[in-house]
Amino acid sequence: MAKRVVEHLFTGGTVPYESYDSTKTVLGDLIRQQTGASSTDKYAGPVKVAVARPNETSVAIPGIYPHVVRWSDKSGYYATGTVAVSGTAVTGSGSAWLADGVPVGARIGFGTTDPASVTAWYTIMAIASDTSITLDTSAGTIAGGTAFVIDKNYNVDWVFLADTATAAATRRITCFEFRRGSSTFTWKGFITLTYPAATNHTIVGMRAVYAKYTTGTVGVSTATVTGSGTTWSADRINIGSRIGFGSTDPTQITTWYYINAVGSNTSITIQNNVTASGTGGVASNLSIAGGTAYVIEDLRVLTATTNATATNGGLYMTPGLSYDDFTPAGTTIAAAVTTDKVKAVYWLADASTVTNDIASGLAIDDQDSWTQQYCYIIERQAATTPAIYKYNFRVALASISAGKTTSAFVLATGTQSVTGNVSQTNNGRIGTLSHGPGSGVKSLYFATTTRIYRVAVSNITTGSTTFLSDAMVEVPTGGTGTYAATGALTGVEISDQIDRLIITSTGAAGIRSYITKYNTNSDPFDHIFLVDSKQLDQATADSDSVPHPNIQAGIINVWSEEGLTYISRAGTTSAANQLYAVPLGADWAYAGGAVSQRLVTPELLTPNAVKYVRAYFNCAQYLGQDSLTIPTEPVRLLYRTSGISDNSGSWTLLDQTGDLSGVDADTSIQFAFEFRVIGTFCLPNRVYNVCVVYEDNTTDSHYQPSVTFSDAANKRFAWRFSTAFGGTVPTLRVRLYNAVSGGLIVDDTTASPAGTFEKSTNDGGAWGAYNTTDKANETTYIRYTPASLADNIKVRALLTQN
Amino acid sequence: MIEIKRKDRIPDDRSLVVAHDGGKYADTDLILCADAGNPDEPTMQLQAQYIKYGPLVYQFNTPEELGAAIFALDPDSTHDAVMLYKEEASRKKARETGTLEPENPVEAPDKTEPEPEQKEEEEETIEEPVREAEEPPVEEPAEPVGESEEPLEPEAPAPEEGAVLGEASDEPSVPEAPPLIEESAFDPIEGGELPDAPLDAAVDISTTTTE
Repeated sequence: MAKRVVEHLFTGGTVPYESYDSTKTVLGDLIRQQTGASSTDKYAGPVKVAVARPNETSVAIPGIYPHVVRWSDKSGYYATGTVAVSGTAVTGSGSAWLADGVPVGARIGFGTTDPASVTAWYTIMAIASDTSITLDTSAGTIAGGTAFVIDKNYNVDWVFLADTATAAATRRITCFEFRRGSSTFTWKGFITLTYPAATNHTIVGMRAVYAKYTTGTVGVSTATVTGSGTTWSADRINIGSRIGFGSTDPTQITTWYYINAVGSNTSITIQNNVTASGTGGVASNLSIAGGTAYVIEDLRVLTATTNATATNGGLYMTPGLSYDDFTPAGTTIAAAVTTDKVKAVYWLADASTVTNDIASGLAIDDQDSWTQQYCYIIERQAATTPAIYKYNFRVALASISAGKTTSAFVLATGTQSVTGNVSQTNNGRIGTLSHGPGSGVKSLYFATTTRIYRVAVSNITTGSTTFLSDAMVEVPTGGTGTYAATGALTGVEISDQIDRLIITSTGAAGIRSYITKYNTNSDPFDHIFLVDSKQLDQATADSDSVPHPNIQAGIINVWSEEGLTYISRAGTTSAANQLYAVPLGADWAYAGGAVSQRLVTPELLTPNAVKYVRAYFNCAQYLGQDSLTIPTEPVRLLYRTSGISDNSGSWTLLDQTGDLSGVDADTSIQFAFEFRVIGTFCLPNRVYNVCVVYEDNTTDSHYQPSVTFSDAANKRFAWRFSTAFGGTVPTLRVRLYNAVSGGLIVDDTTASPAGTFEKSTNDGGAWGAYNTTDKANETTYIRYTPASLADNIKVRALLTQN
Repeated sequence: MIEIKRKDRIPDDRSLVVAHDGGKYADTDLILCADAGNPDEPTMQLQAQYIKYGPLVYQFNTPEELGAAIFALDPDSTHDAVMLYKEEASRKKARETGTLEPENPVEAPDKTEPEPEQKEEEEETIEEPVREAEEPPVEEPAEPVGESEEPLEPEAPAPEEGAVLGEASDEPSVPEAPPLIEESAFDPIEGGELPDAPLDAAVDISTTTTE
């Protein structure tokens, strides 16, 4: 047998996992294939860790409590139909661009349906219909009937942060845009909230709530939008919200307009530009036929605050916002007075004299309707006796006085004792886990210093003093014999994609944080992660350093959105306030789950393989340069030899030696990579290439056919022993094929021969019985004479290991 | 304090006007505002400082930075941050020019007056120098210095309406500070210790032959 090698480099075509293709590299949800100028820029692996610096933007605003809106999650490719191109105008035939959800900002290439073959990409600036696109630059003239492919990958998160500068009568909310494809943060800007209570506020919880309104259709005449099947007034559409026409998908809107009045359920007036008050802008002048699709974005910010004057704290809501309000110079949102549905800051009080005055976080429930969506605030009346306040922030606001109303207040529980002090900030998260005591039960999870508590939402009733469902005690990963319990838990977040809790600590003295199932069995937490490396990731850091989420002995706050975890460090200086995006959901513990996070190679052909030997791959052992390198997290390799074409085969994990000797040889093999991300530095690895070594059914590489000592007359076949085995010779196998028909005529082995095996160690001078002694000199030969062989046939002899 | 006038337009959003009664307001007081088309129906509240200076007031994290920014826009501003900025600037200038003086200087408790010089007496005979024992000075507990609640420097007077703090210039003008009182030239002496050197003037011990 000869040894063969098949290699795969991560430079070719790719498909997302949901579009599995065994001829291409398959990428899990958070897996990307990257390219660049140097060889180390061409790799595949989880999305890169990205860093933003809130305190180093043009207006420095230290920001914490990240909350994310997944604004666009488009992926895949679209190549149905053909096109004709004239300058920037693209006309489709058989295409359905709008219906398929192609976003504005996507790329299109012509002449092929294979993205890997596209040489020039153009950006889509507008999508007028299923068959009409406008490009950013001219693509010249392309005849009709030309193939095309659209790269729909357009993953955009809006990341909002709360102001953590010194308490003041106003608070700022910052917005970053994060592109998952390129792992880049871009600062959008900020808004300033003017609270109706003009004493110093400290934000203890913040949520940015986003919803899309697409009911009915519209027609537009000048600045008046007339709806059909709409109920805008009853559904409390707010002044200031932005509206787009032509699609119900915000990613397909080219030009946004802004609602400056809601006249009725079927009448809205709009303006061209965004204004701080939501009114007073340039009146629109459009003409759009009735029956047109549209979308209104309802964006509002909720903040829970404590206040220098205690009874000025509580819940505040700012509706009527739009993404365009977030500007580098800042947009100031006024405090409300007496009018509902104005673009202003409202005080959603629980009573005329607020009792929800020691809030410790803010948790949002799912939207039930346009007039009902609940939020919950844990009231820390005393360190160990919390209560829960419930509000409906979409309800009609009445009796508003100086911006304050009690209309949203629903109920407050009584207090109930807990063990450990209730965390004072960003505490509380609503979610439904799929495991443990809370499986399938919508619950509010919150942290004390030593426990995570669960409260079934159904238990949150007026005056209840028995609302707690159960609690999970802190048992570090590996048990307390491996890590000491921190006794300093501070926050809990739910990572829906992996069905786990992310539990953060104060970081004091470098204590770490956890990711785990929720259990009441005192089982150790599943993962411990992060470390205090002391590295400063501010803009002036050495370019040889690599930013990574590290504790810096401080509190971190997290938000997880579809596998990507945003980690903010709660500092107020440029050295200590950073925001990281880390693909924790791609961790190998969860890579084979409901959302695949594997990197899968194409099918690698191993023709005539008779034995697999080993798999090898190259990856990045570290990131950064010189003295500032940081090790990457490990990666592991799996294989399969069946079910490749239809993605039905199961995977087997290889050990770190890559040994494949026990694997039955086949005509092809496929590999998959899984990456550790939940680790010490949380820097995911990067794989450059992979290869498999195997032996095929050509003559064994230790022997060479011998013309001299082969003898057709005696039907004898000989080989020179050319390469030593380094030990006892293994069982050899001789197969004689009809060279014309390919049929197997004789199949014999040295272990139990039917024919005769012989050996000579003196250049054929003397032949003796065959033995398994290794090669001793250059004059060693073996020969085989079959027991019987027909005459007058053309024979091909094959000597291999058995 | 910031002066607001009714129906003034909000600089940062010209569609809004002040709906509140005019007057002087604290920097962060909420002022009723209304749509310019319906000025008598207030729909929102904005801080007085925002109405006066726009979003600038929310772009800084410290009062010192804010004060500097507002001062650059309006040197005559009476915003609290500007007053702080002016204080800091004047203090810095005085420190740099060596004229920083306490407002109410307190004498050091161990201050001593220098002894007057003694004439040398011409003597024909040689006398052995006599080291007279001196009683050690009684140590008095040192009083803390600089704990006055009053600032070390006179505050810049708040201008009356229409008044200005001197002529307009790039640097704030402040009243001259009183001259510094020189500290004592002698180090304090701990109780119980004799001074290392006699306090009396040295006596000539050279030999002079008699005539």
